[in-house]
Amino acid sequence: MRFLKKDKVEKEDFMDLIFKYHLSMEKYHIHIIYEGQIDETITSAFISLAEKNMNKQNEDSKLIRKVYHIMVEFLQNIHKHADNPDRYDSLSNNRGIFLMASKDGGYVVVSGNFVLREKIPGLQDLLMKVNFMGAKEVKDYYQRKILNEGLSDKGGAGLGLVDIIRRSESKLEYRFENIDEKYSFFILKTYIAK
Amino acid sequence: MDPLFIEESFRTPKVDLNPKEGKFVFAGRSLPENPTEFYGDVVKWMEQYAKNPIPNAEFEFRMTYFNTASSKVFFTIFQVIDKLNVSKPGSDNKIVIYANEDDEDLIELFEYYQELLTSNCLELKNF
Repeated sequence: MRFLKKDKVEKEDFMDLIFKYHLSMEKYHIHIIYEGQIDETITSAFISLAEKNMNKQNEDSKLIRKVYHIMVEFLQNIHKHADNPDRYDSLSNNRGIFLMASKDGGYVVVSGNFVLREKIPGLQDLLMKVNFMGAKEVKDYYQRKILNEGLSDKGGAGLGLVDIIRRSESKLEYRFENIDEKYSFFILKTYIAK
Repeated sequence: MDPLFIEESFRTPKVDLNPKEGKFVFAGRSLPENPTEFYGDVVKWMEQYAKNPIPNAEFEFRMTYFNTASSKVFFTIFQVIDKLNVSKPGSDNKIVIYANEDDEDLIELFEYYQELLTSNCLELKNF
């Protein structure tokens, strides 16, 4: 919100902003939206929230369980893999935006975070590969990772992404928006149908 | 062998490994992004235990949630148990994974695990 500060926005404008924001939240059936540092505390808070919903024991418990697992993989992806432009201070490390909304009876999960532009080709290759996987390839990929990585902290975003398509049974949508010559903003979206 | 007990936290499960009482339980959530920190000692304990195991033990996994990083570590633990069955014919150590019956994703993961293990040690039970 730095740009607003610079423009010396009056208090009233922030009130307008909040109200518009609220209307958008309603319009798009947004349950959670958050932008800022994504760390373990934030992830834990979202997990508590999701679990509370899950414990309501409604007919959607199966769907909510899927959303919950997918949310955690999204958040951990940001925490582990987001790059931090120099203009942000260290308090803004692992910055990202995260959204969960209802849509057509299912749920949408979207995230956005900075990535170094040099990483885009590799990330695109990985996403394309993951999106083309069928049930057999998902299983093979999983089993290879389970066998070879075991108790190690190595391993990229691959298994997390594969796990997301395994659970959502839908392709990942993604986009890169250029920020400057060094960074891009990476947007990732999935849909979990009922 | 000394038991290993780790209290449950929000992000890590309760680990209660007690050969004297014949009790081996993992319960709760498992969310560590870097599993070495939490599971390093657990895996070391399992490897020590495997040198002098009790016969036909049952390892319970009552996990409400675990992330992909944990799914890899669990397999390392399963392998230790699987090897016990393979190396001593007639031994029947079990790993019981608890799942909700509508949790297709966990049941699918269970099948991935099962294919990778040699002995018939994995069992699925309703939460």
